Amino acid sequence: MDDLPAPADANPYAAPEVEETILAPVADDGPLITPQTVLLMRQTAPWVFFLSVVGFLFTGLFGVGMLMNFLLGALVFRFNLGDMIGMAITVTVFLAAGAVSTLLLRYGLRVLRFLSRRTAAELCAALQVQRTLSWVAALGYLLVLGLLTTLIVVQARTPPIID
Amino acid sequence: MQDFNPYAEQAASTGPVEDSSRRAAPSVLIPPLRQSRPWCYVLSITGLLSAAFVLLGMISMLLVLGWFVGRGGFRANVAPLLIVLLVYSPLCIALAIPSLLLWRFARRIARFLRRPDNQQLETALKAQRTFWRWSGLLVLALIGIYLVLAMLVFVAPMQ
Repeated sequence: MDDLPAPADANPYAAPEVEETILAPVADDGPLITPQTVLLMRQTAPWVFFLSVVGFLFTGLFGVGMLMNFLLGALVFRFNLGDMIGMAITVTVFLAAGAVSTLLLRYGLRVLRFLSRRTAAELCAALQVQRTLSWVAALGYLLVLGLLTTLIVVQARTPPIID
Repeated sequence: MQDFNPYAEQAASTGPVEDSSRRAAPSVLIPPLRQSRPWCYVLSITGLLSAAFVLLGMISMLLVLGWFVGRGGFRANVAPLLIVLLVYSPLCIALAIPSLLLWRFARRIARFLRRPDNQQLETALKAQRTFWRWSGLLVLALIGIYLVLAMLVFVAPMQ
């Protein structure tokens, strides 16, 4: 190493620079977060944001479609049980999609905060949002499936209307 | 002492390896992952059931349409069969693959809960990353396929 020529503008008395790699753990107020954990969360974040954007777009388009459907449907609405369940399904899908998209965005933001601080507390906060996301998505999905089953049963029992 | 050979090759140390991935993971991470696990199973099972229903629906529609086309319906054109196949098979795949990945994530969480070290945490987070990545890719593919299909069905006949 001694026979390497020093650069002309190098200051031999300068303090040595710490090579701060982006993946090095910086947490000093809690248990160790491994670089692999940070890397995995970093690779997760873009997909979460992408799905959130797609979710918001879907929610917006679905909302517009729902409103138009309700406005046009009001002309021929009979307000029977089948129609009401159909409305409930549409509103549930709209609300569930909106909630899931919002939670996806929150999860992505929490992951970003974890990536900047790299503490166990921040990772915990991110995983808590993911937990909320999973139960909201599961309940929304179960609710829609339940309403769809009810609609099928109701429609099967209702005699056809002949005008 | 006669068996003692001072020139024998030294046995490799089998003591604990100092590796950060073998160290205990932060305990604060256990509750959120534990509470996520059952919901991941619920979502996975409902997703797989939905995929099975979509597959059943597709097969029954193909059978009915095939019978109809076979008897000379739609001027014996197989385009409706192709459309059904192109609409429902991507949907079935887009439901089944994330559900299986979510199941794997839930199993990895269970393994982490049994042995809460950094290695198991990383394995669980890797399963989670795979789930989100595949979900994103499948959503992209689904959007692409449906856009092309919409163009083929609605735009192409106008020209």
